[in-house]
Amino acid sequence: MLTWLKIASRNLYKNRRRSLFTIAAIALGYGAVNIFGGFTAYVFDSLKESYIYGRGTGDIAVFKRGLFDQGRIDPLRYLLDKQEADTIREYVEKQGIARITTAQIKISGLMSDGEISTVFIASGRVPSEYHELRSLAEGVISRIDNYSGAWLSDDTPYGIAVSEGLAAKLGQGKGGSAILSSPTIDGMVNALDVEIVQTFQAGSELLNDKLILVPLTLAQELYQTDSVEQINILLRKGLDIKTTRQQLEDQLRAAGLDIEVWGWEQLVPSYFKIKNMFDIIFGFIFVIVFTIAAMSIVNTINMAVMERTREIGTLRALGANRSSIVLLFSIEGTLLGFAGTMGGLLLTFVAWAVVLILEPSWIPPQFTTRIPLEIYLLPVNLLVTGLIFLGLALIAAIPPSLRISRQGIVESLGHA
Amino acid sequence: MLICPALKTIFRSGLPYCDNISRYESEPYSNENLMAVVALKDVHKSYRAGDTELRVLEGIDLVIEPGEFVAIAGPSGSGKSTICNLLALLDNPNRGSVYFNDQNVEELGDRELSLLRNHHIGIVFQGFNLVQVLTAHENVMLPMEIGNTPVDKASSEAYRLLKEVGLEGFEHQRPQQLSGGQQQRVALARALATNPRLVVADEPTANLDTKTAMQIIDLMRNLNRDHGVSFVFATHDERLLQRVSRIIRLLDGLIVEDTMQEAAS
Ligand SMILES: Nc1ncnc2c1ncn2[C@@H]1O[C@H](COP(=O)(O)OP(=O)(O)O)[C@@H](O)[C@H]1O
Ligand SMILES: [Mg+2]
Repeated sequence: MLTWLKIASRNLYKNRRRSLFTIAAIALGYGAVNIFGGFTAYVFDSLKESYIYGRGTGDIAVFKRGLFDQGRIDPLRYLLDKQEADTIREYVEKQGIARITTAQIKISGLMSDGEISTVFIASGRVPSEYHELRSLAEGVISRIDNYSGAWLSDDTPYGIAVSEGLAAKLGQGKGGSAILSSPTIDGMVNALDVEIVQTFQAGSELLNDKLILVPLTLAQELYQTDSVEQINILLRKGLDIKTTRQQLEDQLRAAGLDIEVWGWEQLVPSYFKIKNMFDIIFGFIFVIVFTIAAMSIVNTINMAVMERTREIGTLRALGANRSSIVLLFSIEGTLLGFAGTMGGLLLTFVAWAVVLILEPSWIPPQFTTRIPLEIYLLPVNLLVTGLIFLGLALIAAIPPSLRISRQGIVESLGHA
Repeated sequence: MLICPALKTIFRSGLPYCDNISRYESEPYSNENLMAVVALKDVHKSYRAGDTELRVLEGIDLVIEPGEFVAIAGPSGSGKSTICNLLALLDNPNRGSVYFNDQNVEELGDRELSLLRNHHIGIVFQGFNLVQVLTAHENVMLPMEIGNTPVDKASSEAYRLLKEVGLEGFEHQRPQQLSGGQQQRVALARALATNPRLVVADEPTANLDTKTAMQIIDLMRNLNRDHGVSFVFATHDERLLQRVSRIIRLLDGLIVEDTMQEAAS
């Protein structure tokens, strides 16, 4: 075994140009897969955070059964009244499953400054709760400052935040005032004077001239209701979203509430559509990279086998059996694979470190804000793909060496 | 001097090998040293080149006894290499049988054959065939390491053998750094490494100048005498034949001469 290792490594060194080429192919492949994988992991982690903390869905949301089915046409008929909302909050409190529980209602109407009127859509939230929820984000979202001005406060019930596009439309900025008007739950028209305390960049271009954020009490006053649309819950760490969601739904229904509980990923179905697409792209990249690496190894071992046919004949004549020959070239393949994955690991670290130091930023599709770009280091991914590349290197060496080991010794020896 | 080859081969090989198995069973502890080393029995070998069949050996009977120093002579293309390959268990005959240590090798699988080659057969090639990436010392260790001899034992044995073939001081040279004669000495040391019963050398001197060739033959002769190993070597160089104790001459696929002689030393 040691002898084969010696012969294998020295032959790799002897043909170092060729070996290096193969090692580079494996390293680039392994590195590319991991860098891309680390980048996608970051993208989806950030996306998830932007939903849970930024958009404020929490891990799970409780709402009237049917809100997102039949309720789409007339969401106002699917609100949770005060008593229901209180029961839910009490229940969650008692279970001790939540870090944060916060209610919201979505409203829409017209915003005007006396001359211009334009459509708005708003989320009405309890400022302190929403702020706390956002502050619990740990990833890239926690480092994004996409607003200017003051944060909404429970103490300023008519202070609102307006998306930059909308503010620009109205020719207003921080400190400006406006009127929000909308039909109430009962079909009357209501209007309220508000003060703009903050402008922000809405995550998506589509919303940047419509979106506003208002205190929950303001939204309720405008709609003349004390109901809320949904209650968002950020679960305690370590709780499994799926099982907790199911348990809570079962318990609340048993308590007589006609509600549904959804996980965040049900609330933003686009997440998995995008993720699936990325997974497919990743799969393609992996297959291509893998094939190139495999071809490179097979080619190298094939050439080694051809060049050293006579040496193989000699080894066989000295008493090495067939499996020893396969072992010899498997060791060569594995050494190449090992060096390649080490190189790839290094590449991944370098890419990771460069990103860490240079802190590049980018504007993801449909985003209006520039956000930091990161690459995650994923030990499990590194290990699994590393083992796959190593296994590949080993397996790629087997067919050519098996073929040569089956060839007659005299034939091998006769080879020039 | 010249004995009818057919008679001799029958005398040597006929009786024991006809009932090889029963002999083995009745005498399980028979002294291996008295057993014939290798025997060819009515061996035929032909090569197929396209449509035509080239018949190289047409009924060869040959026994190599322990400690013999045998030359296989004959013109180029007469089948010397073919016989060497059969004796070293590197190839199979089309017809007839090869017995090694009284065992018909036809029955053996790759593993057993490999073991047999490793333990009992040393081999020397015309082109030396040293492993280029290994030093002289490592080349000599190679058969022992293939046979799982402990490294330190293999190492000291390799040093000893290299000294014996006159290569003290060259142990850590790679083959390219050595002359042809030196390389063939390494190959001889390697062939003897596992203390085999038989060394087969196919034209070991063909790539060497006359003086070196003579030195190599003398070295082989000495090793044959000191180790008690049977040597079979093929040559088309008549000048080397005076050094051997037995000459087997091939022509047209048959043994046409099998002579014992007093070797000149
Ligand atoms: N693998 C082979 N295929 C076809 N013909 C072969 C092969 N090996 C040897 N021969 C032929 O068999 C004959 C005997 O070869 P060989 O045993 O090498 O003779 P020698 O060693 O005495 O020169 C030659 O004519 C040679 O061309
Ligand atoms: Mg020949």
